[in-house]
Parts: sequence; C-alpha cells; structure tokens
Amino acid sequence: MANTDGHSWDERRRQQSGERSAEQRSTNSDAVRLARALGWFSIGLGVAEIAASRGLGTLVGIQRPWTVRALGLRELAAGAAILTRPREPAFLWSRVAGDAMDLALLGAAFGARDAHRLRLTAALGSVGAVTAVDVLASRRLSAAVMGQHAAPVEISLSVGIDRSADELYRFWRDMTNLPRFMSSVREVRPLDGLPPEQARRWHWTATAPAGLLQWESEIIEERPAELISWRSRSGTPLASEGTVHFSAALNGAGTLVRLRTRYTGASGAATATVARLLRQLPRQQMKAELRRFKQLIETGEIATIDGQPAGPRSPMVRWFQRVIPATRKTPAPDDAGLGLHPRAGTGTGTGTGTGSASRWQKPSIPAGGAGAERSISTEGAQS
Amino acid sequence: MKANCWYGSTDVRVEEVADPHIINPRDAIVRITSSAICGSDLHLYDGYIPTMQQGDILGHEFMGEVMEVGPGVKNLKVGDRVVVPFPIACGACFFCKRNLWSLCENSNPNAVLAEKLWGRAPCGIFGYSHLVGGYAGGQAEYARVPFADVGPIKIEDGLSDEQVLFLSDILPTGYMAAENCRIQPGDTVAVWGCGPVGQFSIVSAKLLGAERVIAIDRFEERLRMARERAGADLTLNYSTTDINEVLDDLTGGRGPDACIDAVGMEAHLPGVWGLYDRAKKAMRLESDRGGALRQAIQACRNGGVVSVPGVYGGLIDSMPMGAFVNKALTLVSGQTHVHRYLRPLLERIQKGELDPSFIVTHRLALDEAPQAYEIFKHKQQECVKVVLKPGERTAGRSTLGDGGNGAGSARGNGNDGATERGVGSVGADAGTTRH
Repeated sequence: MANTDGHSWDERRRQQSGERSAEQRSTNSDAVRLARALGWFSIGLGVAEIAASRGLGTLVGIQRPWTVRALGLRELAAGAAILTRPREPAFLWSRVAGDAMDLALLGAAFGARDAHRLRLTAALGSVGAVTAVDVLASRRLSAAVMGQHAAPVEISLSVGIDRSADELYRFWRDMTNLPRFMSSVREVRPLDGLPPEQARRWHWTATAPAGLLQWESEIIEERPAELISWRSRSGTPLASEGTVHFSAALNGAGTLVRLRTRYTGASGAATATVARLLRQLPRQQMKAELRRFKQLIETGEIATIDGQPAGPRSPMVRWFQRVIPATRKTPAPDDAGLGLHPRAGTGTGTGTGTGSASRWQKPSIPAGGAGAERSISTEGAQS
Repeated sequence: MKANCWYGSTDVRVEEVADPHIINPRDAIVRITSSAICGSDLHLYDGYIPTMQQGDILGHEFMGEVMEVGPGVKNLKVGDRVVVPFPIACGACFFCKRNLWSLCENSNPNAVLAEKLWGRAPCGIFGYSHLVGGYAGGQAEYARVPFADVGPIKIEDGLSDEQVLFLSDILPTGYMAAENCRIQPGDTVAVWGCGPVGQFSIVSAKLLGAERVIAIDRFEERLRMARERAGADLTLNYSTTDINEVLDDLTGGRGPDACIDAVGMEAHLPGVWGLYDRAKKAMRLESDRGGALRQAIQACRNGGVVSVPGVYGGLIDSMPMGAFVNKALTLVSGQTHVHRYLRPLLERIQKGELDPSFIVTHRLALDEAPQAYEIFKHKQQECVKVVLKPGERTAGRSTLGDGGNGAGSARGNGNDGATERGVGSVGADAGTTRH
C-alpha cells in the first residue's frame, strides 16, 4: 500500500527541493565566499606569524616570539578548517574566539614595563577591525546555514483505527474536521465555495508560539477510501504538504492510517522561526494528533484531564504546564467539535468549582456518610 | 471538595480543591462513599513512581453514588451505586475488544510520556502519575469517571461497601494473578507478600483449585490472616526461615508449580541480596528493588509459572535470566484487566463464596489520609488495609466526643462507625472473627 503513492511523493519532493536549493544557493553564496576569504587570510597571517615571528612581534609590540608562533599555529588550523568546510559556521566562529584571544593578549601587553604603546594601539585597532568582519561573516553564515537546515522536515507515522477505510476517508476529506483533533489547528475552511466534502482549496488557521499562522492549501490528489494528498499553495508563508493513506490494518480488523507530512519552511525571518520550531516538535505532535484522531473516531471523544481538579500546584509546575505544549492534553479550546463538551468551567486547579458545585445537592456531613444504601454492615456481625 | 493530594515523597495533604465536573460526554461524577489506600499507593507515597506532580489527587480504589452523567452515558443514572475499576478503558479499541482492558489505547491522554519509558503506553489509571494519564483519583469526596458507560459496575443493595469495594482493584488483581498461574489440580502455589493483593491471591488460588497454597511474609499478623482468613495451608516467615530450603522440602525438591510475586518494587530482603538492592537503589543504578521477584524465579519449579501482580515501574537489576531460560519458566504480569472480572467476582460475592471485607483493619475519615498513609506504610497497629470514608467528618481521637455527630454516625451505620477505629477495635475485630 505504501508504494501506491510513492511515485508522486518522490516526484514532488525532487521538484520542491530543486526549487528551494536554487533559492538557497543565492542567499548562501555571499556568506560562503566571505568565509573562504577569511580562511585564506588566516593562512596568510599564520604563515607570517610563524616565519617572521620576531619581526611581526616587534611590529605589533609583543616581544615574545614563541607566543606569536603559537598564535600562528592557531591561525593555520582555523584557516585550514574553514577552507575545507566553508559552510560550517562553527569554524568561522572559531576565528572570532581567536580574535578575542588576540585582543586579550594585546591588552595584557599594555601592562608590561617596556610596552610600546603606540604599536600596541595600532595593533589593537587592526585586530578590532578584523574581529568586526569575522563576527559579521560568522553571523551571516550561521543564518544561511540555519535556513538550510530548517527544511525540509518530513514525517511519516501510522495508527491503526477500528473503522472502515471509507469512513475514515470521508471524515478526513472534509477538512473542517481536522481541528477537532489537531491541537494547534484552530480552523480549516473551504475557499472555493464548494461543500466541504468536495472542496479542494482550504484556508488554515493555526496557533503558533508567535501568534496566529495562516496559510492556504489545495488537495492535489484524492482516491476514495485510499488516499488524500494536499499541499500549501504558493505564496503562503508555510510551505507544507501532506498525504494520508488508508489501507487494510494489521490483525485484519480496521484500517491502517498513515500520515506523511513535509514542511519546507520558507524565506522570511518570522517563518524561519516557525520552521525551526516545526523541526523540533512535529513528530511527537503528529503522533499525539493521530492518537487523538483515533480516540475521536473510536470513542467519540478525546481523553483529557484538562479541567479536572487538583490541589494547589507549585509555580514551577504551572509554568511547565503553560510552556511545554506536550503537557497540555487537549486540542484548541473550542475542541467541542462534536458539540459534546458542556464545560462548566475552564482551566485547572482550585477556583473553578464554584459553577459546578451548585449543580448537585451536596449532602451535609456527616449524614451523607450514613446513606441508606449501606444499611447492611459487616461490622454489625461482630457487635 | 476535599481531596488527598500528593506533594512529594512521604508528603500527602488533604486540600480543598475544585469539584470535578463533566468534561467529556461519556463522563460521570461519583460521590465517593468508600476509598481504599492501595499498596501501590505506597510506591507513590515513597516517591518511586516518576511523573507525579504536586497537587495530584491520589486514589484508585473507590466506589460511590452517581451524581451526574454525561450525555453519552446511557446505562447509569443519578443515584446508582457503583464500584469504579481502577483502569480507565474505552470499550471500543483493539485491546478492549480483546478483553485486555488495562491496555486500552484510547484512555491515556499522556501516552507519549509512557511510550518514552516503556515503549508502549498502557491505559489511563486514576490517581497514579502522569505516565498513566494524570487522572485525578478517588481519595476525595467526588471523582470524575471517564468512560463511565464502560467501567463502573452497579451494586444492588444488600452488600456493604467493604464487601464490594475491592472489586475496584485488589480482588481482581489477586484473582488474575492466580488465574495466570494456570492452576492444575494438585498444584502447589507459593505467594510472596501477604498484603491485600497477596491475601486475595491466596483466596483465589484456593478457589481455582490449588491443592496447597504457601504464603510468605515477615509480619506475623499478615501470616496469621493468610492462614486464618484467606485459607493458606502454610505460612513462612522469611526473616526467620530459609525460604528456598523449606519450599524444596515441601515439594520433594521440585519447587512450587507457580509462584506469585505480590510484593513488587519495594521488596525487603534480609541478607546480601537485600543490601545489594538497597545499595544499587541508593546509587540510582536500579529504580525498583526486585528481591521478591528474583526469589520467586529461583524457587519456581522447572516449567512453572511466575505470576507478578506486584507493581514495578522501571528497571530491576540482576534479573535471573539464566534461571528463567534454563528452567523454562513462564512469566506473566500486567495491570489488572479489572473489567473482565467485575461481574464473575461480584456474583461470587453475592453467592457468599467470597467475602473480601476481611482484609480491612482500619477505617478512617478522608481528613486522616496523611496519618493513614503513615500507619499503612509502617504496618503500624497491624495494619493490612485502610478504607477512607470521605462522607464522614474527621472522627479521630480528637473528635470522638464531638457531641451528636460522631455518635450519630456510629449509631446510624455500624459499618462507618467512628468508634470502630484504632488499635483496640482492630484487635477486637480480629479476635471475634477468629473464633
């Protein structure tokens, strides 16, 4: 079953990565070129420091040739590393660390009795200028490489659900159902004015750490009771695509649902952040979402403890629950997709009970302990 | 409402918390009339089970009266008296349909966490850490019961709380442990641990036809209970007896046909193994002390069954895998599939074949939960089982003379009588029933 769509999937992937790498190259090349130049600069300086340690030392005002030679070795190592892996930001950042060391040495040399202040000042100035260039170059390279790593993210997960492929297909084909179990998706609505079970273009609204995230997608392939494939439309900030397959399950009962998604991120600072988050979260989140899908289909509800009482929590636990999404068990607050969540209160902990407390008559204590239903007692026998 | 909450190792507190309410359509709210402290609660109390959070409400052995049902619950109505099974099960998934209720795929909202630790997640469980869902427990005045159309069993009048309360966990747990032994006529079954689950394992092994049941513990009062109330044929005190030697002797050098580890992760062992486990545990090289399990595997006859109702949470060290393989043993365990046993065991209770109430030694008000944990943990006052009565006012020593309230309660229902508590009354209880 997995291969029925393999063709189109791979094809799309090639297409997409082709587009992206072209775009990436252009943003990348400047940073890499600068890194190479700085690599050669390191080599040159290193050779000079070793070969002419005395002369160079005198020039900058440091009268310790062995120190200068050691610095030369460091420069050679840094240069060699940068030239062999010009796309590795760590190597370029090592130059910044080297600059800091040089500045510290020059600063310390000011304290010596025979310090040549003019020469030291001139040296400090030039090392400072080089440091500025190094920092700039390292940051650019880091940013370029980060964007490269942020995409693509590809996840494939499956879950067995005790329902027919057709039923599951129809549930998923109406994408307005998705927010009922996808915790971060707030709304999916059709864009082309067709009824949900026929609509092909969709508008998504999701909550992200930075606020609301919106994009559009279109269904690019559908085979009843077998698969649905969609991808984000060009021009939307989040480039993503997904396929859900339905096939005969293990143990001969129910359906194996396989969800594959692929996020390619996009350009732009805000979406780069989103993409980075997506890189860390999605597998676990998608797993949780598939599980909620299963719960919703098999039991009609999603297991949760949100809203149940607890003793006073420590501030740390409260912080943890707010910040770490995995500890939040329910989807979006309006997850009452079935219209079945008659929530009396929201939130957890104390203070939510006032509304619900009045709903049943609390028996007054201690009379409640002697309910009529327990008229026969084990203890009666022994007295 | 009041609820007994976990705040850390040996730190539980009765706090005022919000009342529970219906969250999902298949929920029910139960007003709790009796709620027991389980031996496995002591693992939480001692801080052995990870992922507890401060403020979590404890308790998974409870029963009470239905106060409210969600729109999806058709088989219960307000006022029904129910016992609630400790595993939460949906009744619709792969495992529920195969009668493996404690493996329900749909009831653990925190399955991701359990999968990290165990590879796969079990069902949700009331009041037993966030690995099993983080559900608020039943040592409280009220509890929310998810999938209430599947779990709770209705109890008709005529049976006391204490006769049916243990259907929630330890009676089926002991029964399943014995059933897993696949007992044949003539079999000898050895039971490590004579706490409540051990007692019910002994009862069940006899019910299922074991010819001889040997009970092992170090507390004389528990061994006495095993002999006199549960029906053990023989009891061994491991602190004064070499267990393997005696078991050898009793079985012609062959070993018991089945061994039940009703001790779990906090085993106490004398001698070198005991020291070994304590040291390993102290250095955090193992999370669970596996002394009883090792001994059971060692003692079991070739081709026999080692059944483990005792709770383990993480890793034990020095698992005698060589013995396990070369003796061709079968190791069986699992959180109890309580739903499977509710009806058959209730029928046995109704017919009078079984009266599980004999294990109760202490009855305390919910307010007294922190003391109750201390008493139970240290086996003070010959404690075997504590039942908390959330419906009652604190009736400890200080409030006994508290005008009409305490007396009224005692008069109104002997079962809940405040005057029955304490060492003296427990002794009297044992005394009267023994003769």
